[in-house]
Amino acid sequence: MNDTESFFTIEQLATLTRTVIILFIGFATARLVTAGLGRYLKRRTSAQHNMVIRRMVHYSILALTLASALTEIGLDLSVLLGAAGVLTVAVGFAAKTSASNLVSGIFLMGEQSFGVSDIIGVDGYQGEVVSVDLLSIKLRTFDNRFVRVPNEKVLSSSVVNLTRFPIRRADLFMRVDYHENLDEIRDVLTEIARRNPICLADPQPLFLVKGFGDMGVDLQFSVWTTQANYIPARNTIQAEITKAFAENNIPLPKLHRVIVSDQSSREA
Amino acid sequence: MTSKQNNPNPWWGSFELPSLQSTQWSIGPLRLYVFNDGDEWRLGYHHSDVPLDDELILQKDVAIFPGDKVKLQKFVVSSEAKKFQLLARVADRPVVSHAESAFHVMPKSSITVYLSTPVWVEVKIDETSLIHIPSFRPSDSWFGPNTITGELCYTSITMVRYKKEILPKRCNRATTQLNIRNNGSDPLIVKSLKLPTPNLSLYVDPENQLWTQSLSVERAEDGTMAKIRLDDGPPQEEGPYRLVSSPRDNISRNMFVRALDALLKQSQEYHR
Repeated sequence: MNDTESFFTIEQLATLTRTVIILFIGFATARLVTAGLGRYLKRRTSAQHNMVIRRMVHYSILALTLASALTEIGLDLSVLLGAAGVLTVAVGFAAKTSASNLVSGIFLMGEQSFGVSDIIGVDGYQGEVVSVDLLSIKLRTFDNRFVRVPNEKVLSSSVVNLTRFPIRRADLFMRVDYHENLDEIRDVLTEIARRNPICLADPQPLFLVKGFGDMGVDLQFSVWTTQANYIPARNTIQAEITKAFAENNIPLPKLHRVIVSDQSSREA
Repeated sequence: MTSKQNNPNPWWGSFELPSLQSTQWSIGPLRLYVFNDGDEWRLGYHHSDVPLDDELILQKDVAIFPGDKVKLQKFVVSSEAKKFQLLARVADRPVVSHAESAFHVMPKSSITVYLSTPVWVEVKIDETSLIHIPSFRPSDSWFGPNTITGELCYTSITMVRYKKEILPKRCNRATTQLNIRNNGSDPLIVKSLKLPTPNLSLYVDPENQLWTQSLSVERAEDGTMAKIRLDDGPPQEEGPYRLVSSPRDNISRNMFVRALDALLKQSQEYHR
């Protein structure tokens, strides 16, 4: 009992209480300030900038809180910082990859090729950007998988941002028989696009003869639509093309395979 | 009971519908069904395949809502409301109208053209908006110098007209008079026009035809900017007008300046 009393003097208990209070206030302040800042920035900046600023402020307040708490319990921060300098060199060698990702992350945030909620394709994955952090970006793929791509990889590879611009072109490919009237087919396709309200009237649809293939004439028909209507436009237009081709007696060529049985080799 | 009118009464206004009764409106291509089920209102609608359908029919006591085409919505109301309101509103995005062929406005001269845009129908009960639907759903369109910058609009299925006398009378479309003046030193070629529909008020003339505020576009002398002015109402020659609905987005009626290519286009070509 005497040992305990000598260990926890009233003064030490007071110091400990002050430290706990500082930590509590610091954590609460960080949460409150971050939440308030998030609301303030919501309509003023992009979601990505909002997140980065909130995290920077949050961790800065936590760092200050921790520093105050350590000072309160009597630790000399200059000694800690000196040790941190030596430690940084050691950690730097060990965490070369992380440092590279960190620097790449800063470049990525500066470049602003994409942001949170954009749909991007990178490193063989396609999905919605959930967060852009200092070490990696996180994606939610369309089949609801979570993918973490290191920033270094993002910076050194090609990234396709599918939602950067407000409108997008949907390319549809088809093949028709050689004897079909291409002018009539163009008119049928143009009318389909004209009647579909989610296909943009302007820019006008594109009809392109791609070339003469083994089985018929290869065609491309491209319509423009908004980002939100991209998938509905693709689906409805393809369904309407099939229907309109059937109504206008425009058959789509079928693949015919002729299997020749080599009797002579069998007999041999 | 069905009533079809050649010189129709306005389809907008306040209407009584007692409990367990239904009604159907044909407003141009729009078929709107309203059923008062006491503590719940059912609203259904669909569009006919004829975009320039101009019939206006009120049919009461419709037994059931027809077919799969109807989009049906149910609204639980707190009070025993027996009245609903139909409102005519301007389109919720700008509407682009095209000229049959590009027209030239010579330097220091002006032209007056007429543009037709479909109106939107809003259904309200107890001042609460229930649905808000186009009388005809126009195709989307992009208006801008390229595919990166611009504005999402609707495209009008009717062409720019140059004479007021030949304007067809349609119950679900509003006409806008637009005056274009060219103060530049070279001819102004116009292929399509973007009408800032959400900024315009809607009026009705003595024949119950809908009009929007008139507006004027004046090409500045430097040739790249345009001054736009919203008039106090539609053209005054046809008699007194009544206000039907206010603009969706209020802007100052005073002149405001925009880049000319944000309003008028000389061609429809984009780099692919």
